[in-house]
Amino acid sequence: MAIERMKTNIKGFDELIEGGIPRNYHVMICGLPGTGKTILALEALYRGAVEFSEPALFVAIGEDSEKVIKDQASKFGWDLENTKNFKLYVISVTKTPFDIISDIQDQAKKINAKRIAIDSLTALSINSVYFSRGMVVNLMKTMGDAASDSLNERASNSVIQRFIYLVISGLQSLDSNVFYITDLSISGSSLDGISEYVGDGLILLKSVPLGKDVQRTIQVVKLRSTNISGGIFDIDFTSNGMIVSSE
Amino acid sequence: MAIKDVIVDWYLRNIIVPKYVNYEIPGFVIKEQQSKYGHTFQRDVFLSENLIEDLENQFIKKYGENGKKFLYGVGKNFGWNYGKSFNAPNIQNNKNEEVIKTATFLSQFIGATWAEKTNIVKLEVDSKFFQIESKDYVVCSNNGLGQLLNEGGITGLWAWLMADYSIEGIQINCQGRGDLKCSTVCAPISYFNKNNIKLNIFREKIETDFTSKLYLEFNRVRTLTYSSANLKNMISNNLVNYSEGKIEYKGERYFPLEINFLFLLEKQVIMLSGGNNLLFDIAFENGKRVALKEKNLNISFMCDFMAIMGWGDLLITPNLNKIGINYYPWSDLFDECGKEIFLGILSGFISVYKNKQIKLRIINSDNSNGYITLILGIKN
Repeated sequence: MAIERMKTNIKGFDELIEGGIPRNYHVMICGLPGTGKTILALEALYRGAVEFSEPALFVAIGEDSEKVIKDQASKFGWDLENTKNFKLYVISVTKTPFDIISDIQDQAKKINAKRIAIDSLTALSINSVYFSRGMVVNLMKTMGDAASDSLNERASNSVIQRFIYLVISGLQSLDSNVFYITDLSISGSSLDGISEYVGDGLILLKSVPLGKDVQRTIQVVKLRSTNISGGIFDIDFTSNGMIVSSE
Repeated sequence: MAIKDVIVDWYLRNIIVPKYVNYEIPGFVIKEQQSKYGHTFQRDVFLSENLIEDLENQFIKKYGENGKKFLYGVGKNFGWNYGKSFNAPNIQNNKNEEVIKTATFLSQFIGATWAEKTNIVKLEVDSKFFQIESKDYVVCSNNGLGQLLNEGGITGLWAWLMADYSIEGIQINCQGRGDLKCSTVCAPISYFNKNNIKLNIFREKIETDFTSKLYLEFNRVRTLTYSSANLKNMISNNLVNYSEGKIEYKGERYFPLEINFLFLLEKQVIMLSGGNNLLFDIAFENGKRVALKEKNLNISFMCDFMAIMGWGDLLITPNLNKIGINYYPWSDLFDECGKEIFLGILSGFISVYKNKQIKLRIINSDNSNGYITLILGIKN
């Protein structure tokens, strides 16, 4: 049976993945800062809203992020505020993790979102640790430094990983494709330690100086139920958006 | 071999040599060492023994005696500069005993890295005479030639120790020619004239500094972006065999050579008309041969293979739109070389991948980021 796929209409990208991402798949977009993660997710959602009339919900973490995202979009001529079917939703970092998940679910259901992006899962995860620390702080006060540091680190990693699973399972009930933007460390693994292993797909963005230029690349590392065009492809940003040189 | 020599030999092969070469860093093959700057490092690449055999075979076939002189000259300059890089004690500034000790150690070390067994037949500082025997020396035990390493390399090193570049050397016996062992004699020319022994003389001394600040900066280890392939992991997973400093992968044996070996080869090759093209072609066939052994050759393999061999961080897009390498090796001979070996090997890989002949060229070379970047394109 043919799998229904969500086209991104990002030039050159859908050709790498049999024409699009399978419907309702949750895909990680990973990379170091400045590699184009937000733009990739923005464009996939924007084009879905404009070219396919599919409602899109872009979730940004932190009050300052709204202006940043709108400015990025405007560089490509995408007027997010006045685009029908596109909603930019900003989540405050003061909310608890469970409230955040609940909020995203509510917003998605309100507009019947078919495409969702979370920018970023890393920021959400760190936020979850901040709140969890409050719950164990009394216990740590009774321990010595080394023991509490150890508990702190183990608690942090464990909280992050559990939170990520909660987010993904919480949003899986929605009838949407979801993109999770995740930051990588210099070593190449995700800052949360788990993003690259969960989810239905993993897109890796890299950026490296090649002489005086900066070369940006994209690689679809994993996408279930899909014959991926393997390899690393170079990407460019034009006035209309991203171009993947897939041919 | 005396018991003490046996122990030293074992220790060199099994403890020192394996630890001396650091092959755990993707993109880099590093040997730590002491120099006049203190604790520094050398940068190596792993080269295929078959490639070096082909070099000798084909250069001698095409250029005859001039080919032999060329090969010998590369090896001699490499040996000379290698001794210099260690600041190996020579007779100019050191006592004879110190020089003898160094020559003895280096012979054993070379034996542990490039042969199954070596022993010094005769060593006389006063007459500047040195003779060494070896069993299963790399390359020449297969092709019976040996101008590059057994003849040239050993002669250059001895010449450094004697502080006398005019010293020459020749392989008087070779396993590859049917003798029981390989035997190289190094001495002043007068010795060879007296004994009517014909030499491949190469007079042009080319100095290069393995330990300059620029060498250390440009070749400094950095984190790769596109390959995380680690030779140590491949050895642990039995994908390659590693023994006494040499890798074996699908029937090809590779051993590490300090990068100036490449640069001297590529610089000196221009003395032979069409030599650079032949060098490229030999490397190209080597690349093809390696690539054809892979059932499912893909871009990842090429990038990982080159990283494991120590060439740096390679980026190749499947449509060949972008081909570039960061952290390419550097020496002060860099600008005088055509990088034929690297271009040839990679062209061979890509030709097999694309199932058509593709030859690469350098479009741009850049060092503005503190390391060497080569941007490559396809030759029309």
